[in-house]
Amino acid sequence: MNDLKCILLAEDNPSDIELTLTALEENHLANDVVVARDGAEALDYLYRRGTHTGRPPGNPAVVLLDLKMPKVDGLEVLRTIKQDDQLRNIPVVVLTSSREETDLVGSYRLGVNAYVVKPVDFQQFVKAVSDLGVFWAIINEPPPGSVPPSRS
Amino acid sequence: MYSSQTIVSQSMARARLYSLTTGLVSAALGMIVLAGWFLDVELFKSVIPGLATMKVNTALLFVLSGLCLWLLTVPGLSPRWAYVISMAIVLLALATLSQDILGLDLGIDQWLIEDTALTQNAPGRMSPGTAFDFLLIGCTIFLLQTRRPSAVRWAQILSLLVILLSVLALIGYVYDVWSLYEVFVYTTMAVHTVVGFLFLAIGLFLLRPDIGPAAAVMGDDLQGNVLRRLLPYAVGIPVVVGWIRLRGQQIGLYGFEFGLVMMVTVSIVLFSAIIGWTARSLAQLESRRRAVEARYRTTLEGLMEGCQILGFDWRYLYINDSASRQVRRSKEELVGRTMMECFPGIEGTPLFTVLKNSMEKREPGQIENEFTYPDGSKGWFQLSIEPVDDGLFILSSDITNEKNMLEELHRHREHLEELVHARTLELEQANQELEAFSYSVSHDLRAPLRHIHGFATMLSKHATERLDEKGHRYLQTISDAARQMGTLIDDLLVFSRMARVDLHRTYLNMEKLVRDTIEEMNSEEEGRQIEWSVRSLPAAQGDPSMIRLVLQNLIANAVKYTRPRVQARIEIDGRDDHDEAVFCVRDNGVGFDMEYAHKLFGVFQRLHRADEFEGTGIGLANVRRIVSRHGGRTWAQGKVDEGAAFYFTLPMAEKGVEA
Repeated sequence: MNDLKCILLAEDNPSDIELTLTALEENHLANDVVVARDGAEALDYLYRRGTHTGRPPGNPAVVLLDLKMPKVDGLEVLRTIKQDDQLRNIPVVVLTSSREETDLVGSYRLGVNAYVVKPVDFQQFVKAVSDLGVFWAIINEPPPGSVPPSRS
Repeated sequence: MYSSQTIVSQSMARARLYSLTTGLVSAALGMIVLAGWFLDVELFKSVIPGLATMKVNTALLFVLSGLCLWLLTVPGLSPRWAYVISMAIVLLALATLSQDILGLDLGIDQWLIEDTALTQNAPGRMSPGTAFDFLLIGCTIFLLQTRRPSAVRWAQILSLLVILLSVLALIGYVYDVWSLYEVFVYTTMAVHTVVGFLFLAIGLFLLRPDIGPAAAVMGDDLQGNVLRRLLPYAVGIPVVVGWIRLRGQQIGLYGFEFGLVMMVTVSIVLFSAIIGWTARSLAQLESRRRAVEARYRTTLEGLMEGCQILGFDWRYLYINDSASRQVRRSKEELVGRTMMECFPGIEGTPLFTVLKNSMEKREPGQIENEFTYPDGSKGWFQLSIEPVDDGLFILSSDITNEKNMLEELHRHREHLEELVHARTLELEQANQELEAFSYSVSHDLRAPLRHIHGFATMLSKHATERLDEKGHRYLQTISDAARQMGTLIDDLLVFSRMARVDLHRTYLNMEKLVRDTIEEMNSEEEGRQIEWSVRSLPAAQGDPSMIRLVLQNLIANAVKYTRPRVQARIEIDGRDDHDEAVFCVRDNGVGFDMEYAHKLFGVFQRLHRADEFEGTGIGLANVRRIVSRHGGRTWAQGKVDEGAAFYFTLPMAEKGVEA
């Protein structure tokens, strides 16, 4: 877990983690993913503290953020990132089941870079997540200081 | 107030008429005598030939005095001239008197016309009595033109003095008592001079009937009436009785003593008769007044409203039955006592402030007063306060019932407000719970479905070789069910959101909305033969995104249920109907049985099996919810296999507003 990865996936549900990783594997991006099981761990990774104290410096190319998580929820993580000078530039994509307007409005108000509702249909889900991974980790030029994907 | 004002102006008018007449008479008298002098008509100079003549200056002064009466009486004429003329009169009178006293001749006696009568010491000179009278008259006019009440009073006293002197001279003439008018050394007063003075003095006396003794005589009250009735007798009877006595004595019917006795007796009888007569009419007046007073008193006593009269010393002068009932005190307890004695502590109340104001400023007042009885119970009274001659008149109505009703109404309203507030809180809470619920449905319910679908799909990929056809079909069913439930949840969420989100009403170009919706629909339904017909639609008012959802639902239904038709026909039209716009989406699809029309707009209600036409059964429920939130109605008409028509109404667009 000490390796520097280019995608930070903050997600508490193991099934969702598996589905997401499966979807990312379609484009061979699964190895570039570090998984945080709640908001607190996501922040630990970003700030290189707790279990991530020793990781090499640098920011991920993108954060895929679930909203409903134990301890620190997604909106709180988003707020912390967007208020921190060091982290502000990291693209954050909210990946959630919620279609509620309050979540949508709240996320954009805090400066989210994209908001994606996870489709129930698996084919659509795979397409959405892999498109996301490809766009943010490969097509998009990440801010300086980010880690590029280690494509083999 | 009103009636006494008219009385004053009436007596003023009458007195003005007297003053004008007497002014005219004395001026005319002076003119005639002047004419007599110029034309040398003896009759005009002395009335009774051989007796004293009225002198030229006298006649002139009569003309001037009469003129002054006019100047002072007729409104709009300048009283400044009266001032000048009065000075002239006084100067001429003083000059004449000074000639007599100092034995001078200033040459003023014959400055107009020469007096040829040789019988006199000073020809053409008026008698000292006449000069004295004119001195008084001049002073009277001078005082009157100042218009100051005290001066007017003195003027009236002076004019009364002239009247007295004239009466004295006149009685002298009537009784033929030469000695009387020969009191004055030089010449005697002519008879028409005396009459002239009498008129002039009466006119001046009555000039201001609103002030002093004249007011007493001219007043329309009892005093004026009695004075006007008795004064002529007081003057006339002694003159007439005295004359009869004098005549009888002169022709020798009786001697001095008998004459005196007769005169006294007759006077006593006549005056007693007149007093008796006056007393009787006064008594009649009194009884009439009593009757009127009794009538007013019974009226006041019988009034539902309380009536009180307070004296200037705050003593109760009068209290009617209602007022006594209202304060729960007997009349005997109150009348004669002051308000402060009867109700200690009243000085500190707002009521007393209002009463005091009315008492001091003589202004009417009004107040609603809460009255506390000794037993602690309370009553409300509406008081109207009117200043009267005795002090204050207070009319009080009991408004306790009205007040209580108002209070009760107020309490009910407050209670209602509390209830509404509590209900609103409950509703808000329920709404919040609903929101939390739908959030949970949205988020938590969808996740497991995604997992079911995801893992079923992965399983089917993972175990392609190991699963037989049946196994694949099972997995497919699991996936389909999960997807179907996802759609259901999404639709339900939209349905519940439609009830909660705020409406943003704007102008709606319905024709454009419909055309946009059809365009979207067409791109999804390639390969279908659909004949669209959109008539001209009225503009409406509503939330654009919600109404778009209505149109999407209705048009998508029309597209869906015409699928079996080779040539589908979908028609959208609308019209203005009074204050609402009515829209209709009609198709030639499979239609429905009107027997089940009432089920169409219910949640999860479907008239077709899922394998015939897909759907969750929420679309029309959404349509109805949205339209009714806009204050509109929804209904449908159809027949199996002959198509269906769905109607909805919306508020019309405001006139002159266009987006």
